Amino acid sequence: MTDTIKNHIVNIIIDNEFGALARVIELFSARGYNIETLSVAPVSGKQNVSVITITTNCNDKTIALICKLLQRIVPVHTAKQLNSQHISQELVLLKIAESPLFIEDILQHNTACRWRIINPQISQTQTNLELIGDSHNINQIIETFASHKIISIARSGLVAIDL
Amino acid sequence: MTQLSQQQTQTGAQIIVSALINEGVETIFGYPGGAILPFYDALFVQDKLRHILVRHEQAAAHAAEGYARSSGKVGVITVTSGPGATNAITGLTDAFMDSIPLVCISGQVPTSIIGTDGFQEADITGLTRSCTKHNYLVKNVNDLGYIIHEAFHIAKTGRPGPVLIDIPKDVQNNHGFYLGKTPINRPSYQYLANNSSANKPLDHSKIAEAVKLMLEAKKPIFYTGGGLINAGDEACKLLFELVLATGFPITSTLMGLGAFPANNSQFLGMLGMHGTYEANMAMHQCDLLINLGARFDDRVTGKVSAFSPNSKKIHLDIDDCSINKIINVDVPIVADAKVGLQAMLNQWQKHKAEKPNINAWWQQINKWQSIKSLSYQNSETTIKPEYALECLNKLTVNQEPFVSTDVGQHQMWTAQYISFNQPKKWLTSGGLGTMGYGLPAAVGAQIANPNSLVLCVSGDASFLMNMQELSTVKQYNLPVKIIIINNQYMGMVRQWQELVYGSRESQSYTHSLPNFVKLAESFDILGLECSNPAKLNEMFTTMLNHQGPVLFNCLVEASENVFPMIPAGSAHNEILLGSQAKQYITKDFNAV
Repeated sequence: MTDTIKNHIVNIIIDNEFGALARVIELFSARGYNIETLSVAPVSGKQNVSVITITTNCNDKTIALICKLLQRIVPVHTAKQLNSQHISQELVLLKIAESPLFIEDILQHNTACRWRIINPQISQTQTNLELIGDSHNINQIIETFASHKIISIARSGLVAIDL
Repeated sequence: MTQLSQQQTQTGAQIIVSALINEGVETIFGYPGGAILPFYDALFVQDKLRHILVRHEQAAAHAAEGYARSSGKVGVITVTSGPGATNAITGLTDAFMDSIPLVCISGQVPTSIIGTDGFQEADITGLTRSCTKHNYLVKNVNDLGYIIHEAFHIAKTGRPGPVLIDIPKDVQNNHGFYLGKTPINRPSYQYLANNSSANKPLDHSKIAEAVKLMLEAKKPIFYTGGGLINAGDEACKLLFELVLATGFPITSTLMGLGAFPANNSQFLGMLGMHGTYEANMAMHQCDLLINLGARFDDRVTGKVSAFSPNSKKIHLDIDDCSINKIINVDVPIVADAKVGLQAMLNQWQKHKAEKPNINAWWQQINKWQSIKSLSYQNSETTIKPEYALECLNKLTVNQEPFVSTDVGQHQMWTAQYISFNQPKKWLTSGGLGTMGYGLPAAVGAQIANPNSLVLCVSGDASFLMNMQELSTVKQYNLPVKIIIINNQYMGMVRQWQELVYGSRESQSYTHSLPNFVKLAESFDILGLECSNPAKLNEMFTTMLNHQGPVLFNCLVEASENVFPMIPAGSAHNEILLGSQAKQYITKDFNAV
């Protein structure tokens, strides 16, 4: 246990029901904890259960308490902090005001993230780009487009599982 | 489980009534209104549920709390949508903070109107999400029966708390199936079963560790809280056995008073901001602190970094969220108090030959006790509030009365000077500190215990916050004895203004108090008044001998302060006695 503030990832398995996500989010706001990223979706195969992945910044003692408090929410089945042995990915969709060739040129040597261009029609003025990777690498790629016009961007937040 | 052939189609309103009856509910506290009229109509044509009509929904919730705390049952309230439900929120929050099992059924506008800002519409599940253990919006009448049973299950199991069920008017009117009380199927709800370790086995290695520390201790102390009361009479009995077997001293939080008899010589009185000198000094200097069902609340710990600095700490709690939240402990035990105490007692009995000699510790404690921290300067001309409470205690202690309070100075004096020798007798708003709690809580306690003496000790300011309940008292002819410790001030506010804010009494003096005797008479209740210390005993006796309700206006010394006191933000060993009031130093202006 240390007092160092660092990033933690929590995975929550929760019943799909009215107000369930609000209970989780309000726990964070009511107790002054911070949500950095949030991703939530029903898990196929288990019709009535969703997985919520939250990243938060706090010390070790606080993350332990957060997990216990989450576990106390009635529809929560489990709330677990991921240890250092995990895989995590983010998905980003970008619309950039450049031609696909130009984008390919910039990204051709990039190996840190998976990327592809999704242009339904050939365009010389606009490119739809999909990026998948860890948050750090995704941030770096977005930085490389800083001097270009990003028309729109959507980002999934982190999803992660233990190894 | 009821067979399908016994299924009946009922209206939602009838299902509510049937499900409440199947839960063993006898009494509900409530107030009707538009969105809950179908339920009130179904209530009209049955005779198993008794409805107590309060005069404000906040009072319904406090009355249900008083009922629950004094009986050990779940308190039930029924309120209408919008303002009816929002009025109940203070009571729900109070129950949440003090872990009191309540079920609140609120009417809601019809499902087709939800979200349109309809008349008396409020998003009550949204508003109560953070002050209930769980809540529901019922959208399908066929779910209603099961949800009510699940709500009771959640309210009373594990760490108890309030649960709200919001039921739109059309769901109350629609016909649906009710299968009776079926088994609860909620795998995600993980709790420790009360009075049994069936679903989560107790960690016996922790019990062994705890008892080992107890056998090695030179300066041990038990610190017990409201969890003992919630765990029930048997848990309190086991506590008594363990405390006597060990010979250790014991102190209690405000919420825990009565779990261990106050008249036992091992009891050091309440601890915390206005606790006794001996309890706080012992907490500070102990080498082993055994916390049973308390949560290291800030009223108890004072300055956290200086809290009980040299002790090993054992913490038994049913809610693992309370463990290592404020104070890090050496031996955490997650268990219901009865289960944990039984295991500790068994383990102790095996090793009782190794019982430590703590005579030196008791000698030290006796020295602290000889200071007599609850002594006060009495007066022949004005009634000292401490004297009034002492007097009341002497006259009533043999009857083991139920005592409710409001919040402020009178609350602390009641905790200090009334002896609670049994659990479930003490009804006070500990966590939330809700002024206006006392009278409705006394109503609830008297309904649950019609043949017992119920006292409500209030303050002039607190009493005004829910005094409309005198009408409820009269309607049901509840013989509660209400004693207003009247100093014409919000006394605790004035005390802090004197000690911390240079005696600038900003807005704490109550101009234009009513004539309380005439007020009582206007409700056709006996009003008594006393300002003469020499007459007080006789007047209290008159009050106690009166068969019906009494409102007693006890005019007391206005400048009296509650002591001992640990200044906010200070440590236990910085506790001040009444004679040391001038030494009060504010170390932390943000401390509350």
